[in-house]
Amino acid sequence: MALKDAKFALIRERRSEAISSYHGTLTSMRQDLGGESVSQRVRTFTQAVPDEIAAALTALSGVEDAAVIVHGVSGCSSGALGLGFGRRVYSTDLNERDTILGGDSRLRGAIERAAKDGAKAIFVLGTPVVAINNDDSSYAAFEAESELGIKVVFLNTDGFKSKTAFTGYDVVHHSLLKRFIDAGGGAARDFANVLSIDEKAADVSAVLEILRALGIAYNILPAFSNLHNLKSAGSARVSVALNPSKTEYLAIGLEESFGVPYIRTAAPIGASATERFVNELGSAFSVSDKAEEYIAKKRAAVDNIFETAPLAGKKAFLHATPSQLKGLAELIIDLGGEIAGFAVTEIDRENRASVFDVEGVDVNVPVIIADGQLFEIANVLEKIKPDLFLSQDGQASYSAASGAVPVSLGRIAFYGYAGMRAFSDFVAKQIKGSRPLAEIGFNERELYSASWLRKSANWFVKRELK
Amino acid sequence: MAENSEGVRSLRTGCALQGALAALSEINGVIPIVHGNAGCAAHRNIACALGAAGEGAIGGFETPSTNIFEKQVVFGGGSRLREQIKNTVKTLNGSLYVVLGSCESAMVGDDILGMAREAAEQGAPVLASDVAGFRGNARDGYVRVFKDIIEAAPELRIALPREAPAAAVNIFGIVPREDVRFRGDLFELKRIAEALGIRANLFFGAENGAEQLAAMPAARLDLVFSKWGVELAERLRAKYGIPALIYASPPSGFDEVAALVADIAKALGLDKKVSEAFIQKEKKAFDYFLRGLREKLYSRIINKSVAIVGSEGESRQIGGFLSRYFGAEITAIITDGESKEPCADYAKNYYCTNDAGKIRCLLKNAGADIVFGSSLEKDASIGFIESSYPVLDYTVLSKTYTGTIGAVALAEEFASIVRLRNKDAESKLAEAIRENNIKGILEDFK
Repeated sequence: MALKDAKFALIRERRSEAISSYHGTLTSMRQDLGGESVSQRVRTFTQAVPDEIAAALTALSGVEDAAVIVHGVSGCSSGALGLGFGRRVYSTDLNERDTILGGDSRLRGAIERAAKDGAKAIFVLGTPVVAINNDDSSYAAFEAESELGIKVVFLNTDGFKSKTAFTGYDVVHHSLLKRFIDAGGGAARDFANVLSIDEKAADVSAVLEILRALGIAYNILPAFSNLHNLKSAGSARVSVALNPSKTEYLAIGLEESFGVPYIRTAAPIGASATERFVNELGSAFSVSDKAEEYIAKKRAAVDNIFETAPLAGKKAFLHATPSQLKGLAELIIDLGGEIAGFAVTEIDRENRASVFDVEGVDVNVPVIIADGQLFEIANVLEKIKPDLFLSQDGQASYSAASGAVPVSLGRIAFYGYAGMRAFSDFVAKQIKGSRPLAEIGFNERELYSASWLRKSANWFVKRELK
Repeated sequence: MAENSEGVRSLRTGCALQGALAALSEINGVIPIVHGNAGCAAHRNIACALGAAGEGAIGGFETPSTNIFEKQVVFGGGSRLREQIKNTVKTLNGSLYVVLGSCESAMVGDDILGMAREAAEQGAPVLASDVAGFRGNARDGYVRVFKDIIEAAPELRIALPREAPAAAVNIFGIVPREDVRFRGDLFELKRIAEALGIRANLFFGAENGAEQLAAMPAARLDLVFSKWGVELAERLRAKYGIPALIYASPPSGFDEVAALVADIAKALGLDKKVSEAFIQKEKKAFDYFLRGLREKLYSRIINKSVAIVGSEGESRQIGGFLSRYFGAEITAIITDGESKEPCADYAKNYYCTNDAGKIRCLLKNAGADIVFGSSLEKDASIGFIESSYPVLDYTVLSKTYTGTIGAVALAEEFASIVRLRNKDAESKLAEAIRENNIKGILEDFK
């Protein structure tokens, strides 16, 4: 069945055998997770991670004329404050009484309010409280839609069904495919869908520079979009994804149900992935000559940077999303560095063969599959003592205590050719200025017990019992 | 809690779990363990990653959390919690581990208290607090978790501070992260206390931590600086007979500092010479700094109209200082929807709401020259100072409006924004004159 035709988006574990808990080496990972089907693992000690509500909020924060209502208690919408929603986010602010008697009337009130404030569409996000209480929120949304004349869509973000927050992206994309994207009469038009969730503006700009150089018009979604962008996606010539693991559901759905081919190419990070990205786009729009010309022009400048090998002699531990890991690893190697270990937020059937397929990496380097779980990374850092620790936003600085130079990927641009230079400059500067950072000290050494740091780092990862 | 039936726009107050978690995360040696679904321990961190509430003693993504999923929601998450407690104690160094319940654990009926008791009976310093998100906002969470700690204090297996000073005071009512300047506020209060020869149990901060929790029942006085500490002081009075001095907000300005010092000296029977010498010293410092503003005060700064959005305590603190010292007219105070009673009698209008849309309308009607508020109220067309949660565009570390030092900082910030506004208005006017003047010349030459 096409993704769009299913009633709900399946959780990632069911749809694509997503694994969010694993600890081993590159070799063991290939053995354990390389087969046709894989067995789930769980951790018996865990630290805070985002949930599917956080992912859904992130995905919807870029749709400028839609409002989002978080149907839950006050805390469930807290994350939205940091996501740049402006005035478009509401909470039903459920209290103890509502957890017993239901919060439908509050939801109806919030929907009316959002519509009155000018929302052109409303997404209602479910939360654990309404899921456990079994409130029929989708009916409240359905009823409001017929009264208000705008789309009101309830999203099943229960917060506990999936072990990976990425399911939240799929839930949003399912609703876009089902309710917002239009076939546009069937004729493909001359533009590319650029699927983006939360890539930095500088990264998106670097990709748009490529499209402009090739003379390709674009339609970015769901980031930087409005309802018109969403609607138009069905009539694009092709779709490309800036972080395929986050937007693959949308890309596949557009291909299956709207006939928009999905260019299955890696995110344009590092020289070879960027080159492939440019070539694939060039060929889809029959401008391969322009693509080659563009690559030749840009490649020379990048080769000059690679020749200076600014990361020579540096061992890097890399913690990234699956779609960014390989490109970043290749970029580090091209800049003269060495990979000392990997941590990746999740892997699934779509990407498990390719994520770690990086030439020149020792097969015995540690591999962690986890969103966060800094205790496990702290254990590994203590043992392998890398020079650099590159990690997602908010999860890098603690490595300073182990002597590694922290590099937060949340703040550096690294897409396209512009990104290669920016990444190289940023990391080189960070290495130069690392001494004071390490001296700040933080308290990580005191936080994790000596016995834990001595233990095998996979201690808490177990096979899940059904 | 304010009733609402039409949703709250950009709700800023957080939930009880998030308030309790923020408080515990700021206490050295305390390890919170969240028993909830993935996201419960992370949402506030996502909001705060950009702004004022940075990392405490234990950072956002380091927080132990059971991250329960469907199976545990259906069949109960007790055994998952037991496993998590056991493994947290082994993995993270702490003097006290506090299990925080969530909406899910409360709704499915997980026995968090029983699980914590079981660990405590085996000698692990573990206690539990039911701070399910729906039980209240983040400030309620601070109160709830501290109440539970007070109840458990005698059994806490935490070493007491080695040097027990003659007089120690507990400080309550300043809520970590919700009060964005909490670090600076507490630091200034500590400075005042130490000048009087008193040790302050701040609980949060560089030289504080879990041992102050254990030392709490031995304090001679509680100092409460907002209504969010009143219940805690009452509990300590009932249980341990500790008297309390209760203030609606932390002191700001020399006059309030002098009053606080006099109250403390009286309550603890301190040597009058010491307290009066300190008061004189503070007056000299305060006068010295404010003297720098004297001329401008009368020509530019005095009698501005001000609107304030924030908690009751911080609104009262800012409004009180500006009206007492700068003759500011407080046209509106908009607090976080917790109380129908005005928190300050000098405010012309007093409103309770935490809805960003309604606050925007109220501010428009207030027509103030200068607005103090959160990032959600930021508006380029008015004189604006980011002063309450969430502060998304500035980093707040040691900043405070408390005490004499903090009041000077507040005066400095207020005077700067007033001057900037005056300058902007003058430049706009000058530009208009120049434009018309040139237009006039052109007309003449036609």
